[in-house]
Amino acid sequence: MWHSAEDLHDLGEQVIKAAVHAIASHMNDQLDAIGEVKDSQEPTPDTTARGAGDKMPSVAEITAWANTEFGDIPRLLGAFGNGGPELSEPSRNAMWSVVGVLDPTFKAQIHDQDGHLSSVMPAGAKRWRPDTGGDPNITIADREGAMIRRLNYWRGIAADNFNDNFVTKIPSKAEMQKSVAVALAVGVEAEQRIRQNANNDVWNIGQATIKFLDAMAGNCPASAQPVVGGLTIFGAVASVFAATGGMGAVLAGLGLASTVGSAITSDAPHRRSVSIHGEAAHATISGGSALSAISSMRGAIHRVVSQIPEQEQDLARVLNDISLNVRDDEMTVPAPTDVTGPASHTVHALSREGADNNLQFSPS
Amino acid sequence: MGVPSGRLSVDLSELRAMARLDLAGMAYEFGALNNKTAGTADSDAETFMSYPVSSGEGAGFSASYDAWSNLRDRLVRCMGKSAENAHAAQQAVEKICSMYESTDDDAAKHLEKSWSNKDVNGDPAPPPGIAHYTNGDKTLTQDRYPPAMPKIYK
Repeated sequence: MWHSAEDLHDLGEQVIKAAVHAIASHMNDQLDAIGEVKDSQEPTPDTTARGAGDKMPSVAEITAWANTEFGDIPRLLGAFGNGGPELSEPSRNAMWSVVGVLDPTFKAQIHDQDGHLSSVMPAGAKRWRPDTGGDPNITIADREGAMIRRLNYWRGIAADNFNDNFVTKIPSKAEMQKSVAVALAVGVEAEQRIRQNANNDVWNIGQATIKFLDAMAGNCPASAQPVVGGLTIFGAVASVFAATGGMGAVLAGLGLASTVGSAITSDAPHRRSVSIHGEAAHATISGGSALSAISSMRGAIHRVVSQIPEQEQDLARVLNDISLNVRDDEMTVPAPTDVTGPASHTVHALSREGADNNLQFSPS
Repeated sequence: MGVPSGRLSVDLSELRAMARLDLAGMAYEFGALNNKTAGTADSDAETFMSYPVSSGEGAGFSASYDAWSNLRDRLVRCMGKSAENAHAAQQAVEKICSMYESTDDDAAKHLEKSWSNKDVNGDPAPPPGIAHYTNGDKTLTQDRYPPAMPKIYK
């Protein structure tokens, strides 16, 4: 589920309210903590109010202070709500449609966030197909098959060249185009997964922070609050590439399985724990005061932010490896030079099968 | 010694079908794939904007964008070149067909007659039965001429 910018912004405001509540509920302890942190800064309700016989700051004063101190939080969280899946839909659908045209039987599935396999094309989704003027199910392979059949009516040097150097080469070129198109489609999926996981992680961090602060406000022992499911941004790319079914075969055909493994389980210490299946990194919200809890939250969000380019670089390494391992001629239908050569020179070269099989067809 | 005109016209009809239906269809299809893949560039900014992004902020591109777009652009070029090569093959086979046709007036007449077919709307249509494609137990038909190859993105 994608959490919108508005929802995350609201969550940030709830975090501030929970912090105010926690501070107001434990005024003395909390103000001591605030005083330690804010000693050198401008007067706040806490420090100015401290003193024998002085009245404690009101909730309104604490709120005003908190809105200044934590005022960036709604915007910080809200930023993770921009860039939702609808923005990548055009590219995603275009690339899967291209795959479908090159191989209508191709069925790809990707692990969702819970590890379940789901189809990359929602049920009922209509794929684009070019209108070639015939049945939309005619494939490039069908056309290649038809040409081979028609070659029964044309024999000789030119026909052999045409068959050997052009017609029979087409399927492998289309197959390689499909494989690269799959890699591009998966690349869009992986980029979106990075965002989706970061979006979820930040949402869970915010929720865990509120829960921690509520426990603090309710006189409950505010034990460290784990972020639900851990930080799934770790291993986001690996989780997409850990695919099975038709896509697994494509990735294997490109030598991609080992490429993905080496790219994502690199020796970088901070990534050692990330395997091809992805492992959640854990985060907890903790602290002895509302301020330290908020600080803990900021730290957890910082971990998410720092993982985004790391994951994107993993994805870039995979795509660059594919690029290095695929030659243009492997995915380009060849030029028919061996046909045009004879055709432009002499019809004597264009012998046809005849009664004696040696018949040279020539102008009368 | 020559080839009977009737048989030659049948043979040439198959050659012409290869050019005007199979290769033309293939050229159009690779061209359409070239266009479709190239068209993803229109949403690059949305798909690969750097994340997270504050509203109103001018977003850059993600760290994966260059690698993705470079591979995409290569595929676009190869699809485009495939379309052009299929189109070149179409022209070559048309030329071969014309050369055979020019050697036999009767065969040429038979060929032109069978290729002057019209559909129910009176539009030019392939000769009935010439463009059947088998796919498993289904027979698929090309009942209209493929469109001209689209503009290719390089």
